[in-house]
Amino acid sequence: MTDRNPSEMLPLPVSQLHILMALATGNKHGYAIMKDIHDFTDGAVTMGPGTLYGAVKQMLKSGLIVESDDRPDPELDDQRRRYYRLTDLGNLVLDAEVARMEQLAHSARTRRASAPRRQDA
Amino acid sequence: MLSERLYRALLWIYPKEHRREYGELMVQLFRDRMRHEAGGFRWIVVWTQMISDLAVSAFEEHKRREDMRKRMWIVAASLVALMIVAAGASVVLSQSEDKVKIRVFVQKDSNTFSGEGENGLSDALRKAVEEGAITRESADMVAVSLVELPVGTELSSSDGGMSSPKFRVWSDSNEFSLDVEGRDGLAEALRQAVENGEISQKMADEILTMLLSGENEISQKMADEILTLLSDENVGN
Repeated sequence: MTDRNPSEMLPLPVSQLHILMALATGNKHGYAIMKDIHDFTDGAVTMGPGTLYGAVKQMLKSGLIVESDDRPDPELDDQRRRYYRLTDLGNLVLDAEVARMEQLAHSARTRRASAPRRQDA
Repeated sequence: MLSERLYRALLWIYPKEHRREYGELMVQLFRDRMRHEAGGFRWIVVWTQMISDLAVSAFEEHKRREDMRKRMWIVAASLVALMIVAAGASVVLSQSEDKVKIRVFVQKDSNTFSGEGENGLSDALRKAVEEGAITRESADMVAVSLVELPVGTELSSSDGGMSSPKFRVWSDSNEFSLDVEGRDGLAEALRQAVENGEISQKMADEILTMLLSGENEISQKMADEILTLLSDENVGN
C-alpha cells in the first residue's frame, strides 16, 4: 500500500482521469487505452500520442500506474508494446476523484434546484 | 511509409529525453491509428488531430522545462504544418471531385443492374435489357423520359404507358433509405433527403439536373457516398 494521501492529488487532470478509467478494466497498451477512451466518451475524446504519453509519464512518476509484465499471448502481441496497469494508489485516487465529482454534481444539482426560475418571454 | 517517416521527423519538437523514452511508442500509436482509422479521406482528420496533439503536448513538455524559445518555435511550426495539411487536403479534395461519378442502378425483382460514369444510365438499362429483366421499349421509355423532361417535371403514368417509376436515394452508411413512388418521385426523394440533412440542396439540384440532362459528373465530394437508384419495378408491368 502507499503512504500518499489520494486526496492531495486531486483534482486530476482530465487526461489522467481518462487513463485511470481505461486501466480500471484491465492492463492495456497505448493504442488500447486511446481506443477505450474514445469508446467510453462516445467519441468525444480522441487522445493523441503526445497527450497520452505525456500523461503516462506524469502518472508513472506519481505512482498512479506502473508498466506491467503481464502480457497477452506473445504470439498475438507486438513485444515492443508497453502495457500499463493501475497501482493501489491509482485505484484509490480514481475512487477519490469519482467521489469528488459526485459531490460536485450533487452540489450543482442542489444549487440549480434552489435557484429562482427565470421566466423567458 | 511516408506518413510514419514524416511523423517521426516531427517528434524533434519534443525534448530529447522525452523523445528517447516515448518516441518509439508514439510512432507505434501513430502507426496503429493510420492502419485502423485512416481509410479514405480520414487521414486528413487523423493528421489534423496529430498536429494539434503534437503542438499542445510538446508545448507542455517544454513548459515543464521552462524552455520559452523552443515553445515559440513550436507555435510557429504548428501553424505552418496546419496550413500545409489544409492546403494539401484542399488539393486532394478538388482533384477527387473531378473523378467522382454517380452510379445508376436499375432494379428489377432481385436483380440489380448498374452503370457508372458518363453513360451510367444507358449502361444500366442496356444490361437490364440483355438479361431480359425489362423490355427494350421500357428501357427506351425510361431513358427518353429522364433525358427529355426538364428539372422538376413529373414523370407521370400517362407518359407513354410508363406507370409511377420508383426512386431511391441513399448513402453508403445506410443511415438514410427512402423509396418514393408517384408522379414526383425523384424530386420528392431528393427533397426529403435534403430535409433529413443527408445531402445539401446544391447536391440535390445537381443530381436532379444530371439525371435529367444525361450528364453524369457531379462536383461535390459527398457524391461518392450518394447512390441514386432508379427502380423500374413498375416499368413494363
